Amino acid sequence: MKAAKQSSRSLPMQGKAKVSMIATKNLLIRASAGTGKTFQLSNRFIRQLAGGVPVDEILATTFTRKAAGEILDRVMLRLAEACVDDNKLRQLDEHAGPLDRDQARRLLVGLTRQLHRLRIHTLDSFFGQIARTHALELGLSPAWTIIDELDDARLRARAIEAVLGGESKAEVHRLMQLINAGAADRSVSERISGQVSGLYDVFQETSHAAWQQIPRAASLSETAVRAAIELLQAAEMPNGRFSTARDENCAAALTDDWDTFLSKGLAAKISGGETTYYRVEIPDSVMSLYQPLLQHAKSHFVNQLAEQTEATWQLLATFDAEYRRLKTEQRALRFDDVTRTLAESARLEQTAAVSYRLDASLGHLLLDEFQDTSLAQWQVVRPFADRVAREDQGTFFCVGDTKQAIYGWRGGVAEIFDAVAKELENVQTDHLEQSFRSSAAVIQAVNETFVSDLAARHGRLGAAAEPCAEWVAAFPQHSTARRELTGYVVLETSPEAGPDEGQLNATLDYAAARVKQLREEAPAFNIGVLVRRNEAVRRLIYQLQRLGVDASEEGGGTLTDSAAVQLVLSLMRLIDHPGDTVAGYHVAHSPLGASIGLSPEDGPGRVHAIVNHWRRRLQQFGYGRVMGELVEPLLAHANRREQLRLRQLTDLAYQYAADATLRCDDFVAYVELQRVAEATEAPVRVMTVHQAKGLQFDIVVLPELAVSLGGQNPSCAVGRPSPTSAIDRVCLYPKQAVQPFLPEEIQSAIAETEARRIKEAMCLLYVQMTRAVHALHMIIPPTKKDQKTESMPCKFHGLLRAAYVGTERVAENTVLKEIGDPRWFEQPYLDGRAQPKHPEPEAHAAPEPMTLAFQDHDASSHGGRQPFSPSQLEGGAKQRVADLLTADNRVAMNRGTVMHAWFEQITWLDDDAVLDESLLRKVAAQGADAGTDVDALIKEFRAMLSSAEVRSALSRSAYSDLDRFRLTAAVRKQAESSLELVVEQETSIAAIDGETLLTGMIDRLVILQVAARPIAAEVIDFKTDRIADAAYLASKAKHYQPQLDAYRRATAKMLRIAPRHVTGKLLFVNNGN
Amino acid sequence: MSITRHFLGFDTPALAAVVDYLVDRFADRESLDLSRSMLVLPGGRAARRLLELLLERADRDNLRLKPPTTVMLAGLPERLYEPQRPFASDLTQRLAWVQALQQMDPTELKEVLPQLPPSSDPARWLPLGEMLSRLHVELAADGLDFDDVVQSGESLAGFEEVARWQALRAVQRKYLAILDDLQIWDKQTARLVAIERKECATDNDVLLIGMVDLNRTVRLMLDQVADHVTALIHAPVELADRFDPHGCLLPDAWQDSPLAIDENRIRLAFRASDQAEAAVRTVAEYEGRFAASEVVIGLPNESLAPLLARKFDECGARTRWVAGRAIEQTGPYQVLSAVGDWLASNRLEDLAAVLRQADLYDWLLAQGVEEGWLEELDDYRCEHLQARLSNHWLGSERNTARLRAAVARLQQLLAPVADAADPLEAIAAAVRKLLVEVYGERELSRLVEADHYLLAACRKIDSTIDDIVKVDPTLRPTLSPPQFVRLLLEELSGEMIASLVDPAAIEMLGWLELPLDDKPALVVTSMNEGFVPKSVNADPFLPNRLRQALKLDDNQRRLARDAYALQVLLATREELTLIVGKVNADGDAVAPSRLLFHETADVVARRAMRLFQDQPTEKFRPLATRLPPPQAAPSFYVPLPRPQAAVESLAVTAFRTYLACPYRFYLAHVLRLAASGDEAAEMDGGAFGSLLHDVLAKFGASDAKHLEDARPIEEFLEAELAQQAKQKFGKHHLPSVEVQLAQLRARLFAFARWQADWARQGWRIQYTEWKPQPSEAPFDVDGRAIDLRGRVDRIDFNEANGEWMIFDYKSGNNAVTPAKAHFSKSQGWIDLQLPLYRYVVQSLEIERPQLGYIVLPRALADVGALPAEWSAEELEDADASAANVVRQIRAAAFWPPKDVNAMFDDFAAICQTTVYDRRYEGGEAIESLAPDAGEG
Ligand code: SF4
Repeated sequence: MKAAKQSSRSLPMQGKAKVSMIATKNLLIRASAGTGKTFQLSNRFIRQLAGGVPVDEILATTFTRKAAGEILDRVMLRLAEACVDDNKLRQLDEHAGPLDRDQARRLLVGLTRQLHRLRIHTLDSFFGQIARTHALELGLSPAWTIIDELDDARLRARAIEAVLGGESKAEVHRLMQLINAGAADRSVSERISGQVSGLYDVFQETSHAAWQQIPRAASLSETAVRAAIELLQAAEMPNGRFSTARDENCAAALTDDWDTFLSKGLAAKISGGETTYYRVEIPDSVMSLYQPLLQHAKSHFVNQLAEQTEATWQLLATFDAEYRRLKTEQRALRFDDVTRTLAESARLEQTAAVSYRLDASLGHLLLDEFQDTSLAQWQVVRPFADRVAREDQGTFFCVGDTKQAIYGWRGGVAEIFDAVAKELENVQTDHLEQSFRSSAAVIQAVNETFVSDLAARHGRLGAAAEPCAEWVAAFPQHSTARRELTGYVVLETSPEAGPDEGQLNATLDYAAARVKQLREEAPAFNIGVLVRRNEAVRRLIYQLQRLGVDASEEGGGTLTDSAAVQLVLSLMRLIDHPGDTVAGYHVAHSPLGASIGLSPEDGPGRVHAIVNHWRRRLQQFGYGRVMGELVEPLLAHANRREQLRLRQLTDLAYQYAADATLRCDDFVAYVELQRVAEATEAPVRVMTVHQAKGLQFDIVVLPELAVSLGGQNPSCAVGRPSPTSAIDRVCLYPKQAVQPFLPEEIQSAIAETEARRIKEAMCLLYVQMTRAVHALHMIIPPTKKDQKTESMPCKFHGLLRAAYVGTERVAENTVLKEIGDPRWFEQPYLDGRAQPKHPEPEAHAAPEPMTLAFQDHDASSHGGRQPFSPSQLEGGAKQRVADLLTADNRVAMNRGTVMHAWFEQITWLDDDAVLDESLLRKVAAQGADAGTDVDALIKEFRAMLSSAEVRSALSRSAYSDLDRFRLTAAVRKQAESSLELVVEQETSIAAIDGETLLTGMIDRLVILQVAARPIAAEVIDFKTDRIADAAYLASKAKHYQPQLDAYRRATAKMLRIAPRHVTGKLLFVNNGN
Repeated sequence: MSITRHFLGFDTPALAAVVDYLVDRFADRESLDLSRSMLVLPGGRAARRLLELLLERADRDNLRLKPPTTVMLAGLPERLYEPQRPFASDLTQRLAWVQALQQMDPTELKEVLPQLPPSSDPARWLPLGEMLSRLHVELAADGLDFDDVVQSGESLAGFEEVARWQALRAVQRKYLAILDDLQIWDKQTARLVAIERKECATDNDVLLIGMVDLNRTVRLMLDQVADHVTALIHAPVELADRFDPHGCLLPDAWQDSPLAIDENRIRLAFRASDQAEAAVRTVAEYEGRFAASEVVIGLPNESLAPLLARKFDECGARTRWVAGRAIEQTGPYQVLSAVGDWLASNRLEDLAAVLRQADLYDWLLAQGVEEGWLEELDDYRCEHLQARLSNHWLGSERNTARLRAAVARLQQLLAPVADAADPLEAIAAAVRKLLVEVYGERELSRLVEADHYLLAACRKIDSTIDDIVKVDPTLRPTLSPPQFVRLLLEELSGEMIASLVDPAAIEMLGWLELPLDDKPALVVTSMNEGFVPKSVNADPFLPNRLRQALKLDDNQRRLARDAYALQVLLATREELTLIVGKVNADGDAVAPSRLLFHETADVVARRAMRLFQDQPTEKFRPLATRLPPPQAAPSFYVPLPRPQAAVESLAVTAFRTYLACPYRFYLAHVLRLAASGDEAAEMDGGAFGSLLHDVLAKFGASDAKHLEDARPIEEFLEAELAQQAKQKFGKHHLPSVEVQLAQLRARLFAFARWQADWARQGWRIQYTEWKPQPSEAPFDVDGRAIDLRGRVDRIDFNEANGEWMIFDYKSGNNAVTPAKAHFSKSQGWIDLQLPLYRYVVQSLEIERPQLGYIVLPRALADVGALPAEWSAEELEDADASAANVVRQIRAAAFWPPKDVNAMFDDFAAICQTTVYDRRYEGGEAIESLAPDAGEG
């Protein structure tokens, strides 16, 4: 399959004129779709390097991590190719040169040494670096981290809870009432959360003042209203119809129901500027009686909107305070918090100081996809841009296309791109309209779509006409460098939907069938199906799979489309909620139930036993591993796709494990949120237009063109004094009917908001069409048969029809327009060359799989013994937490440490019977905690030394009787004549003991030697436990026995004598014992 | 005298060469006495391995081995001098930094900390303390203080941070003074003093193993004992000029050192999962020449560990990630974390976590608490929408018996912690006691995986509690018990508990462990920039240029270390494969390691063409896994209904469910399945409606029903609502409930206005919440009656005209007429509630009752009655439809499911609503509806 990205095979060949531009100090390139943006960027990058600029002075930024990776690849690849390929070298010389082979090599080698200094970043990661190095100056915690989506949602929910329950809750209630405008909505949290998700971004971008720009209109007092109603009620009417209408209006006015008032009868007519009512002239007297009430009604709406807008700001401000507090507490930031913090900080003005901490002087900027930059982002970048543009040694380069500005909804302001050339010093502009991607047919279709009189041709665009006209006015004619490509463009209608079927669905289904046909006819070419909404992606994927077409969803879908995954999620729910009988039923009636032993007949006791087991495992071994265990038995019941989903579920569980909570619900929420991309790209990929940005496909199919240009109404309208300045007016999006009453500044904000949406829609259409290399299939619905007159829809397909076929009706299953050759895939290139051979899709005969195989394990060869210390054997192999954690243990240990240290000062008690007090104190000072009563301990120690048992154990005389060492007669004889005794204190031991590696310390080791050769030994371990009575002593002795035995084994091994010659002794050193 | 350097050559792995060297130097015929040798190694693993090799050698040669002392580099300095004062723990140091900062005049701090955190919040100061502490430690390790930075910086072009470092210097002085006052030292200072006073001394032979980069402090100390020191350098003597007199790397000498890596040793993998795949494939290509224990996977990027473990596991091989498990994933940590949160917040949400922690769960069971508290808690939370637990339990005692018992036991368990006050010792003791109580009595075995982690976690917790308690009182922040727990957990976070040895497993090691490892087959993953080598390109205090000027660890030294390490690996491994990724697990593009380009220009060019390609080009043989092969079709079915006892009675509301989907009717009304959860943030439609019903029921049963004036009706309803809300929600309900109650009140007031008007028209409520006795409401179908169940909200009678009206209250946000709610043009009858009320009330013998809703929607103007206007024929048609439903239910026709809106469907998972490839048990009837794309 051919690469989806522009392959290096088709490098653009620009005219000489362009080459000189690339050297321009400050350059802005308007690059239409497919004209080689990344190519230009890499040219510029390499040129800078060739000109001697150190790599860490160049900062290249883009928007996605993928794009950043592509720029890096492209720079490296082009240099590397130029080192080995003459053609490539010539190309590079032409576009980024002058450059010869030696230079190319030097650059490449130099660059590979400096890979860590390359600065090709996403804006987010660049900003992150600044924020990290300036955390203190920015008032951030040095330990801040980026918060993930799920935690963020949790924080928001908590912030809302805090808003509702906090000190200002009375105020919040009042605000809710204002926002609800008198209605009594049930939901509160949900509603605030809706407000937040729709408006918080705007809130953060704006000042309070911006939300107070709707001037209050004068309204009548209550009595004045009553008076006006009475006057109207009393007025004489031309006929009964008038009277009824008047009465209805009055009734509405009396109950303050101005909505009804304005939408009905005479009030509706008069406010709409009409002069007759059912063809009868409305008398002037009636008109003028209506005026004050109409005025009042309008004021009512304007004031209500003003109040709602203001109240919304208040509510958001309250939320904001709580949300910020929580984020500070958690040291969590979102990417846009980082951007905003930087944008608001004056610190950034000191670019040199910032660069210093980034360890680079950043004298050269290369900015990609510039049309998607938001105002805040530009605020951060701007000081750097200003400086490099101004300074002699600095350079500025940016590339973008305002025709591809489709990220307005997340803050992108395309106009910044236009403004840069004016705002920065000495910036020259270049533009590229020659495509290096698309066939002539596709380019012709693009040119014929965005014709200058498009709006007029359509004729019914209404408010959309002006922005549409502006957009096409700025559209330059495109050309293509790839005239050799065969190509085809078609605009056709789908069948009309059946009675019970939506037309949108019907058109999508038809498109799916067309994709299948294209796939069969031209199997060597890849297909991109581009739509506007995720719902359409889902439908198409479903239909394509049903038709047996291997299709993948770009960016992936959630795993919830798998029955097996749903099953595991039900088990997760059941673990969290053992009372959830729905989940229980689901699991019990499934292969999962069988594998975990849950059957439909099981009662609550059994359910508890099972879920307790798995809850414990999840907590103990982590979600990843346990998910693997749960999933494995299910694999045998799964087909390829379900197996894939189950494995993806396990992957997600591993990802989740590090942040796992005690609640399975959280894992379920996590899985429901994560999109999981398919491992390999299918030959047919379905995606939204936004996901298609930067991609190209041999064949592009556009099946969802019957969607409105503007989309749904936004939550608010915003206005800016100029396109690149901050928002200065915000107004909750008013109903259509209210709009005419609003003051002009607000109406202009609404119009501005509208215009942006329309222009973004034009961009979307442009982006969709220009993804095509060879062929473009545009499939639209027909005019409905029962529709009497054709009203041109204000939708994408309305524009296309206007451009290609005019405004008449279109019948179903009709080709409306064709360009090029429908059998293009069978033809040679237009310049006579053969089409390059596309590899056929992979053959299905799978090669023999590889298996893992190993030699048997042999511990001696490469280690792998469990390290072990005999002191861990106290009390045998078992241990209790109680013994680890009891506080009185700690005092004993402390005392024990000191006692041990003192006893280790003794070689033979018969020799150095008196231990110097100052020595004892010095030794104690190293081991004892402050507060240990050393005096008392010394007393105790001295008392013990005088005990007979201790004395004898530590005296030479203890070794006059050798029986216990079980020596052979010969050795014993030798020993009796020339025994040497060696004492080692605190001696370390080490020995291989079966599969373990024993290491440790022996308190006192007495080695019996003859002629410097060990014949026997005694291990003495001091124990400082406080001994209550003999029984306790016996139990303690038993407790320590395994440890002592291990010491004996190790000692024997180390001394190379038989274990039976080594004895062990526990010496309980305690008062009187 | 200077340090002796000894070159071990590249013939064997380092540790084997060290053993040879030691035997050569220290052994006689019978013994190898290393008791006076101090072997300095970078880590514990290498030390253990060396000892193991020595023991094996001693066994082989039958030598009496006196083992050496092994010391980790970090502990070496303290072996060389006698500390004169106790050391400040890490925590003490951090707190001393915090105190130093807080003692400063804020204006002096402007250059460092323009914005000070509130002094009341220790959690926000500690990271600052940590930051400065780390800075101090790093500089001091190289013998520098903050003043030295000022001096070096002044000569550095572009250095504009003099004032900042001067301010930091002032803080540093305060910090040192604070420690001084406490008569303690930080280690760095103690070492510097020892060096200055020339106090370093040793009787031992100091042998440095694998110490290729030492900081200045260590070097100066070693210099003072130089005649005892031998640096064992794992390199051939020919490379001697690349090492300095301390046996460390000369960074310059390694910047361009050629590595000559065979192209076949490098594998390119695109995503993280491809790296795992490539690693398995590499091991498969060994074709069984090695034991699993002879194979090592190197993990410069440790986050790949789970992925690799899983991939190997699928292919039938065990792995062991030596770093083990994070302490966060152990029971004791989880217990403390859950308990700490709950104590801090008293939130029900946090209690829900506590009650689900497995160890606490088992403890409760062991205490004899009867299981079922989770179910009760879910219900309690949903029913009463509580935010916090209060002493006063709401609702019927029966519904919370087990929950109460569990909570009471927990409170008892936690009381010592909750009630512990300063001093910290008291809190610390209570926390220890808590763990002893939960875990104390279990007999644990260190060689059982789960026990091992539990024991190790307790040990770490114990020693960390100690660290906190040992902080001098003048430095301690005042902490409440939950704050203490939080501090404890923060101190613990990031701690790893090493895993148990598994001799049959492939080991996975971090990059730093690899040079001293001696297994013959090695696969290194993530040979990428940022991992091998790591680099620092941006730093809040010490950017690389400043590091260079100060001769601190910098990118050059990092590169030198890794270049050397790679050379060691290349020289001493039988098999070595380097895997290069393109995208890491987070989706970030990563560049190949620059070490892969330490080659001639031609090789560099070709390798760059390979490693910077943007699409995978290589095709591989698949790997055999032990997992079952895929089936042709999956067998996850929507289960068929099973036969159940015949249905004898039916709620009138159930007809709607049946008409919507017979299968869901079966699940909900025959099997009575119900979902449960505890996520409600406010009253949902059901709760909101039932509260409204309850209030209106009281109204209908009171004398207020006769009132014709809105005001007193309002008063009645308001009082009743307040009364019921208090019973239901108490004082600790979720905050949104309060606003909802206000909305409810508004709707009731609108109702009052309508009701007054209605009463003035002569209508009186005759019955409220009326329900028939069993078999009082038969509905005859095919000669057999089914008993209808239902509760009629109210029945009104108009004395003026003798008409009857049967009403149902509807509290949905939007008013819907009975006609719309009951009948759809395309589907016919979709609900039969109102028509069937005629049968429900038959025992009342009302003549020709009218049917209708009283709606209380959000738009208050719309509150009022919406009568149904069905003709007699239409009602007959409804009856027929109801009869049909009854017939089908009798015939157990519950199959197949129908599609319903997944949003409000508890049964979506069972019915596979969101599943692509939906399958029904026992049939090919798979045809399901495609997901609806909606309208744009
Ligand atoms: S855990 Fe790893 S780093 Fe620590 S001592 Fe063991 S092997 Fe070395």
